[in-house]
Amino acid sequence: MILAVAGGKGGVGKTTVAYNIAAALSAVVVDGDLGMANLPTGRGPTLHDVLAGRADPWEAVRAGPVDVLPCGRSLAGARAAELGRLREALTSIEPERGSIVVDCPAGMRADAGVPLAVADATVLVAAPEPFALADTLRTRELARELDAGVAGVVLNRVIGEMPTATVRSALGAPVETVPADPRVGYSVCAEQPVIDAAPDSEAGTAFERMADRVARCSENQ
Amino acid sequence: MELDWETESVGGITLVSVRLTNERAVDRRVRLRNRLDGPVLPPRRQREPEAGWDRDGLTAVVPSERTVARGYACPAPNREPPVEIAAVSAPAEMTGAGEAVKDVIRDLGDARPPRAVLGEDPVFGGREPRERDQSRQNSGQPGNAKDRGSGPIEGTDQAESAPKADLPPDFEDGLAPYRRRIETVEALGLASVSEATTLLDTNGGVVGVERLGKQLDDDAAALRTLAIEATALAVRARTATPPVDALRRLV
Repeated sequence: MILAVAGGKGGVGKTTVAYNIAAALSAVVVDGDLGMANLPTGRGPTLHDVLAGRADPWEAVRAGPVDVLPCGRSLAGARAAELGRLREALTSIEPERGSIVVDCPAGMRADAGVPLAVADATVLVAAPEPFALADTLRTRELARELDAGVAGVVLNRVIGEMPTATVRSALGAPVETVPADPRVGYSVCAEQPVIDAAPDSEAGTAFERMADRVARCSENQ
Repeated sequence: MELDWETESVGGITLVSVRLTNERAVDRRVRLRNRLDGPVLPPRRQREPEAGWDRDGLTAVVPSERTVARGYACPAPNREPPVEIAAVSAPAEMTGAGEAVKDVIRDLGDARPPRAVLGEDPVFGGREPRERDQSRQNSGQPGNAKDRGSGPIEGTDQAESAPKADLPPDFEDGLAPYRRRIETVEALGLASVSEATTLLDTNGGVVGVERLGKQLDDDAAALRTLAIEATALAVRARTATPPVDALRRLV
């Protein structure tokens, strides 16, 4: 299955959530933010090259604690990338890997919409603030229109008690909360998933539970 | 299925307007084939062709007892008929998986960074290139590094395509010092040790050559300004025509 990790607003921690859910699902995580890549990259081809028809998707997958299909950092690469090739790229690695998690960019343009059109399910990421929830609602509507049903919502960087029941009824999907802890954010650049480094932590169990929900969604399809 | 068309030719491009009328009581799918001697340039949104269009024509579903209108451009001379019905069949599902992605791009809009921010071209880097630049890029011959190094100057494409005339002697004399300085510096790069020594002696040693190098920067700026001025004047010269007939009536 292809899972999109999305949320209208930037800086809410989509990349962190995508990386850690991919770890829990043993999936390949794809950096779909063509203009502002976040996942660690290395030498070799990137998603920019794949979408420009210069590289095979398998060539661009980089092995690690979580296998990553990184994205290039150049504006020229972002301009040369054809979003129309994303479906073909993802479906070509899906049969062998089983699960693919796409870290979507912020906003409501085509680069955020196409991964949703390609995905089978979506996990929404929201910051625990009212204005961030408005963006999340818009992304949820788009995901529904594009048949990428919402498997759940991750409320990220939560401090104190959250009215999760209210969020659940507003967004119509199960909610997991990840506490505000800088170590969660470091898990991406250190390439050390929370479920490995601190499996019993609040964040670790939240990612595990969300991955279970996603896996159940995929079984029901 | 009734096909009705109109054409209009503008600057080597033929615009074809088509009306398709389905007189039957059921929806029907029709395949239109372009008969003009060139590729179909379909209507696009966000750079993505509208659904149903391809290089050779259009596949569209016409609802029962309705008329639909479509149109395209083709870079070829007009001929009649410009378009024909290739096939009519029962309407099948037209929105495949690939079409869903294209729909998203058309509806949500292209998110790619504009060309202007790439700063690839030292002259046009600050703004979106105009049509002429695009035609050069589309021709599959983007300006190579050497071209860029020599600094493309606005209007040079036009100047190159225009027939070349000899420079008037005054201009030739005015350019001579520039040409001499450039040729000297170029020769220094290619010369053998003994030739370079002679060139150094005649040009005031290393200090003189350094001064020459700085002078070349000013020369490049001056020549570029001259080229821009000259191009602007050439365009005005080509478009300005004296109203001879009107003046003759006055006399």
